[in-house]
Amino acid sequence: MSSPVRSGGDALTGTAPHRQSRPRRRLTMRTRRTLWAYAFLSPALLLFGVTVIYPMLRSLQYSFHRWPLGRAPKEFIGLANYRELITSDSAFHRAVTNTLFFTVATVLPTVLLALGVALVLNSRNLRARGFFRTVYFVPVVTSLVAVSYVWRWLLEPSFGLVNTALGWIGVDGPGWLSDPQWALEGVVAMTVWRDIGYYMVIFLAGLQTIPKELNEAAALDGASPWQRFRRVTVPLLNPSIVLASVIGVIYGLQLFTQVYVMTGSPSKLPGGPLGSTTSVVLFIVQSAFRPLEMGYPSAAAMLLFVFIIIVTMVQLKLLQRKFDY
Amino acid sequence: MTIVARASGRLRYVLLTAGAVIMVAPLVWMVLASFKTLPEILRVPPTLLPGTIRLENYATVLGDTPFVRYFFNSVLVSTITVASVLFTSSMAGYAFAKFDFPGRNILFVVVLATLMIPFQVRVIPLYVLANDLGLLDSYAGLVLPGLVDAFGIFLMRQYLQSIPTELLDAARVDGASEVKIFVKIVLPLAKPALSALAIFTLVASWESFLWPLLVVSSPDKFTLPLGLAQFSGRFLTRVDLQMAASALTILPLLIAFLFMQRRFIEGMATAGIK
Amino acid sequence: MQRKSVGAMVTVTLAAVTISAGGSVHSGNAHRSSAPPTTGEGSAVASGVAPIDNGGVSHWQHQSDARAAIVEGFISSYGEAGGADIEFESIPYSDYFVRLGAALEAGSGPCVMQIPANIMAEFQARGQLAAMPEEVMTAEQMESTFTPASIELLDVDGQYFGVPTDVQTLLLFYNDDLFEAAGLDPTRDFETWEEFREAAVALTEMEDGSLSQAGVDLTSSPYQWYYSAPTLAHEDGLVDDETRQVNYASEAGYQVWERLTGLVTEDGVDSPEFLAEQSKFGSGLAGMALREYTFNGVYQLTAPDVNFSVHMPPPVADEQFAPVVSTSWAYAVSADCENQEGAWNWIQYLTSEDAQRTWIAEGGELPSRIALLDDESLTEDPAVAVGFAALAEAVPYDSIGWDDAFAIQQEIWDQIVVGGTDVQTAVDAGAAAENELYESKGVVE
Repeated sequence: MSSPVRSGGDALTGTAPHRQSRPRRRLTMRTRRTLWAYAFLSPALLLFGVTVIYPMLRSLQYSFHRWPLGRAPKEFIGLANYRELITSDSAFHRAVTNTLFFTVATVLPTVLLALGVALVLNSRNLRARGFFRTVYFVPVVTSLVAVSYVWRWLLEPSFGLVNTALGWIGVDGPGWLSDPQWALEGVVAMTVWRDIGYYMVIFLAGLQTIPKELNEAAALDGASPWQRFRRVTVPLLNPSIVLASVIGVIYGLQLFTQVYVMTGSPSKLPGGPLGSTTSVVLFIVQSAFRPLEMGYPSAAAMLLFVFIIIVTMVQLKLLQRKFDY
Repeated sequence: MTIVARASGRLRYVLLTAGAVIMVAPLVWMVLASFKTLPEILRVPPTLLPGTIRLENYATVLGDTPFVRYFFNSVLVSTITVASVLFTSSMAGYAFAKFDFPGRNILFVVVLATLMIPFQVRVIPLYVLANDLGLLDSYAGLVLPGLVDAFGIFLMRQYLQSIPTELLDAARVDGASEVKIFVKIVLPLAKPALSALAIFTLVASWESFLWPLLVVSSPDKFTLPLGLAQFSGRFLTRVDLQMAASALTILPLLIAFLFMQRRFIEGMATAGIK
Repeated sequence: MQRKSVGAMVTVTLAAVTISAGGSVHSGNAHRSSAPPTTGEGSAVASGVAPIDNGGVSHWQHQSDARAAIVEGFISSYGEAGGADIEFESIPYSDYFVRLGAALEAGSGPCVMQIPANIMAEFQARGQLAAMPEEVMTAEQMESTFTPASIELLDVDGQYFGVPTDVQTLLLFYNDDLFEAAGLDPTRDFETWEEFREAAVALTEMEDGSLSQAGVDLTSSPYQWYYSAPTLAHEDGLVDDETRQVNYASEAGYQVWERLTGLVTEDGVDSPEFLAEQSKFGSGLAGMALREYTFNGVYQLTAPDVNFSVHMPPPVADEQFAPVVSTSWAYAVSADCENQEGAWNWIQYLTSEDAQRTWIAEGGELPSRIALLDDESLTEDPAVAVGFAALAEAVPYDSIGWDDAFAIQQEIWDQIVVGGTDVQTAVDAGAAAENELYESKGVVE
């Protein structure tokens, strides 16, 4: 730990004169900070190591093999899985496009709507705030079994409420989950409905970090509500916006449960008519547990992982703003 | 001006209420269905109100299945999980937000990266590991994967960034130890985020199904989702019982949320930060 | 703050503990008993082999309330008769293979597992199964005890690896009221395809240009008609015995697929968008449905208002080699099992003649034992009688795969009915995919 003495050290703390006469203390200030940082990080890192990093490395290992689950012998095949996925597996390609479409189609509306709801719920003189907050969060806690049951009924082409309502305004509703063109849209609708409350909570917490005085001061200075929103709220809400979009994309790209419960039934395998709702993770699960083999799905998972990392890094770069307080 | 303000004020309520109805409708349907018989639920066209309010479904769920036991298990597992996630996330989030140390950015990406491998992929190696460690069919094995959550770390990091560093440095200058700063200054200021995280973690843990399915064999360790799954068969699914059980399952979550969402407004005292 | 919420949780926990300590149901022993009683107690006094061992045996099968209750009953009586301790797990069907796969990989799987007969050969090829020892049953004994349809898929090179269970046949269910309303006779079986097709059209009703009653419910069962019909149209069944390739990319196969899909695409007898989420037949909105035999019980529970009768299905191909298809599962012993003797003893108990009577009476199953096929005391219910009669002439649905094969066949159907592809193209593509699948499994000789 022999870091050279740096004049200035931590710009934030003015170093008091008596400290300068004890160079040893100054030497290790930065190191101490680093040590403390790692101390705070260590429980999480340790647990990650066991529950995530280790399985990830194993998955990487599987991806280079034929890995039948159980007693059958495992066989090293190098990049064969990857080659097949990238060049010749059209079902995988379709899963990728489905997933991309789904991610964009859900994250954008959900985050915007959630932000809107959070802003309204945060506004002055709103009564029954707690009630509305709870109500908007209800879809998040309602069991997925019940939610999918109801939504499948809502989207039922012949009797469902959605098509019936569309019929009132003269629109011929599509086949939704039975129609390869519309099934994914049905899953999107259910997801947006369900996730608004989730992101609303994030934004509500984030809005708490914006001191009321700032907005009041801006209002006094003559700023319109829209200007206040753009210049005060949005920038200060940046951490929450970053959180919501990055998390939204990460989760969106790993779409599985909604498809599974909305398109699967005892008489129909999930993945929607003609693979129109098969997402990458559903593809992975089916590639794993139908043939009881882990190599191929692990390779697909690695490809997904790399893609998510890239997208996330790009998002962080574009969206993150640092502010001085 | 006032009329516009009042109109937009009223408009808020209209929009909010319309949205609220949409949000709540499935829940309402579910509760109504929990009072119906199975043929009634399956009837086409579907009915909204039950013919008669019968509590048989609830009686069956509570009487013929060890529902209370499942509930207890879920509470136990969720409590441990929430506590652990709050603990690890707040500490790690604080480190990422307020400390500048070598390797910070890379480490943060690594942490985020742990969110990018779907659990279904990690599950096989994790299961084999749990088996080798003798953790199958134990509470320790049940909670293991949920003890730490990169989302929690991310959330806390984002939130804690807004704590002015001067505040912390002032305390350091005053001679406070890092631990004291964390506990006495950082944590109290982090209440809204911690409450949000607690609720998210609770919901995720409450509904967690895949891992408990794999790890648990004895019925006395079943969590609620496992218990609920018993109602689905290949040819016959007891939707009536599922609805009653789901209604019972949601209650604690709703109560917890009602309880904790007040924390969101308690945020920073107006006099506080600046 | 968060201390309070933790405190609240602790309080709730303590309360829950107190409550559960007072009235714990079904806890204590290692048996999974969360099945609410539906069709009666598992009152098995099954006789059979005298069990000798004291070691434990783990047993997994997929969840159904009735069957779980039956197994629980057997476990008690087995224990009382001195048999081994059975650790029973009843796993929801949709998660069954996930659980099984993970456990097989870790080596923590069950001793006795219930697997579809169709993938027995695959499991054996992967080394997961223990062969049935001669002391338990020789091949000759198997063949003289159990029906050929139920054991055809259970042997590899003359060696048996499982004992049949959960036998089903696919039968045609009529909605008697709708038949009479359409002027049809609900007591007759259809003798030709054309007869059937005309009845289906007669039973179809439209309202405002869209379907309001399906002539035949073609789309809502775990086993679809388009699995069984091609099987019946070929002498070897679905899979050629020698080449281990599928048969249905043939003139007979095309005809079958054309006829079945034609019901939807040309006659408009059913539509994928009509009542997509609910059972059309169970809702009284379909004239007929092809269903597993066990739906006799399922409909009594879920559709008490539907007046239905059970019949033999009509011939779909011009030349059919059997009238009906059967499906079955098997109890097999894992190669990882440490107490193989105990496992086989338990299986014998589960599949003994007395046990089968219980399975039939309370579990909605058909017999796999030849001796029971002739037992008239079991067939007083006319629906059951039809099931038994069908079984006598049934051939097994013999694809070498499960969900992976189903997915291919579902794709063929969807391509034709939803995607508008022509029959021959879709069937050829499916056959090629299925052959590739079989090859990858290593059971192709």
